[in-house]
Amino acid sequence: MTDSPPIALQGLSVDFLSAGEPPARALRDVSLTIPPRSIVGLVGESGSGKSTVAMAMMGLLAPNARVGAGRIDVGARRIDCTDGAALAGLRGRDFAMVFQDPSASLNPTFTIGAHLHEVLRTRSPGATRAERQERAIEALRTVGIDRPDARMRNHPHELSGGMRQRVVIAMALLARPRLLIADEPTTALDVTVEAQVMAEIVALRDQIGCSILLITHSLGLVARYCDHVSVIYAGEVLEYGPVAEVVRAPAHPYSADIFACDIEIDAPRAPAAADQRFRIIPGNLPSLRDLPAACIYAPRCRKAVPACMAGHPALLPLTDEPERETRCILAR
Amino acid sequence: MSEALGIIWRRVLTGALTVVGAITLLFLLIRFVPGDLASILYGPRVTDALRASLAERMGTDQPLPVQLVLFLSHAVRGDFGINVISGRPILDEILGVLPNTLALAFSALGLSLLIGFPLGALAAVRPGSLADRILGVLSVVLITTPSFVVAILLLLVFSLALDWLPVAGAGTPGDPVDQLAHLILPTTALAVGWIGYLARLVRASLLEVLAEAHVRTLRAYGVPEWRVILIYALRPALIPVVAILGMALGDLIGGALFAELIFGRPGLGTLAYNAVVSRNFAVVQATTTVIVLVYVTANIAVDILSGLIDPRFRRTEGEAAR
Repeated sequence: MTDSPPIALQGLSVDFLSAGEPPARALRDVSLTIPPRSIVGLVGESGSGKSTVAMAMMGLLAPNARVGAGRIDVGARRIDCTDGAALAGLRGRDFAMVFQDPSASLNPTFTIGAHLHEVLRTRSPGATRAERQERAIEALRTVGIDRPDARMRNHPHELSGGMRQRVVIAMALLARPRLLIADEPTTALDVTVEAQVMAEIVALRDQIGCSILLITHSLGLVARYCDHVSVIYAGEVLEYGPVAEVVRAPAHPYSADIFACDIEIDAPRAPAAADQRFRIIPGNLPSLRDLPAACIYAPRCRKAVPACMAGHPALLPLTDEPERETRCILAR
Repeated sequence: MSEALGIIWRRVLTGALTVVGAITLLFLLIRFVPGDLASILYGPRVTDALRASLAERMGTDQPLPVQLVLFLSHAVRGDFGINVISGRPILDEILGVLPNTLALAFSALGLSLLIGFPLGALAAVRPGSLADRILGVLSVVLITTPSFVVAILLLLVFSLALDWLPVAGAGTPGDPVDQLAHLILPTTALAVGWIGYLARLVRASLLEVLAEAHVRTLRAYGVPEWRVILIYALRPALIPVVAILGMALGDLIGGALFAELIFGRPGLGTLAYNAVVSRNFAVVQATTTVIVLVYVTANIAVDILSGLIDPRFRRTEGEAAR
């Protein structure tokens, strides 16, 4: 797996249509590179479009969404993101997903076992019922569920939130995808369970050798678990690079600002944060229906200069660190 | 399993209480109906002696509480007394016509489900399509048209104008084809409203489930769309539909009583109607008791069915009873 090419998302644009209004341009030219076996964090605040990226890659966008452009490279295949049928072909085989709310992501009228069997029915059509049962129980045991054979007969409401999330991770284990998209997998769980669930997700990567796209608003999770991070703001990727580098020296003022807001990350580095307790970025997200031909962050940016308003900057590599990319013209 | 049996047992017990309560209420309500059997039977020739002897034979000379206790204690043993007009045991008369009424109510329920369910499901799978919009209008028309209007229209068209189907009666006993032919028009008249209602309910319910996160999970794992809809979305979508079935059956039995009068079908409806007209209280009581029994039994069956479909229902029922 290590020598296979990275999974790459290229130039994804998504609009949301609503009657009587101009379309909301939710994603514009979003690109991501996910190297084999790596964990890439997609970090952004609420409304930045990070979950829309996941849903577009899975081909599971809401009916009012229109994919304008986009391409996914998986192995030797190039999938057009506007081709719903092609994306459907990736689901459950190349891509799988862990969702934000484990209390709603399993069908309340079916047993845990039914969910796991269904994944195997898709993934290993030749397997007998007995084989599927054996593999499903094994998967539950692997993700740390005790008495897995009894749990197979339970319904979702009989399990805790953490256990339910482990069941979805077990589904991913059985699906053996190339890429697991984890969309805020621990947001609905309490902190002690968060660490356990993240540990299972990392263990899943180690076991089946997949890549992981971790969608989160938690910079703490990014710093702890991710190899690369992509910072998304108002539907645009503003910065991409190795986590250590991005945290040490952000190449975009927005990255620097959100790191300054995060007490957890900031505490050892900036004593000022401890004084102020909570730092906020003044201003609001721009309207996605009426975008300026300028840097999207310029109106809120502390470092903005007149040139920032002169045109829309592209996502380009840094001159002395080519594996890092930023949209900020001041960083070049 | 024993827990499930306990829940069912408690449900049957509350059902029995409902039956006793309903019978008591109906028993008292019937007494407020003015007029008496003797005046209706004998007309102007009625004397106090005739009235007293009839009251004695029917037991209506006893105080009301005594009558109620007597009625309940006999009813428990399946004894509803003798019909003073026909001289036959009331239970035999009811059992003789009950199959006609149940056949009508259940076939109407079956027809409503058979047509309403697929219509609603199709509309939910393609919301906003032409079929969905046609159904939206059609269902309102079906719901708002009173079944007696449909019944009369059906009679005019299929019995009188086209002469395809019989006008009245329940068909020759022992001749299933003839009985079925007699069932078609009243069943259709009764089912029309529920077809529209069930179609709307199934559409709304399935649409809601299809938007839920667990459906997205299965799609994310590549489960084929037909399996997602027909297996995994349909079961939770059934929950509100099953919950309404008990009410539907009650409504259809009530509707069957009217349909029997329009179509001249022997059944509980004709029996109860004639008894009310002649103030034959014993028969009215017996028929209403049987209708209450059927209704409560249907609702217990619906609760058990709901528990089979939705495991959360089992638990909340069990915990509520504890």
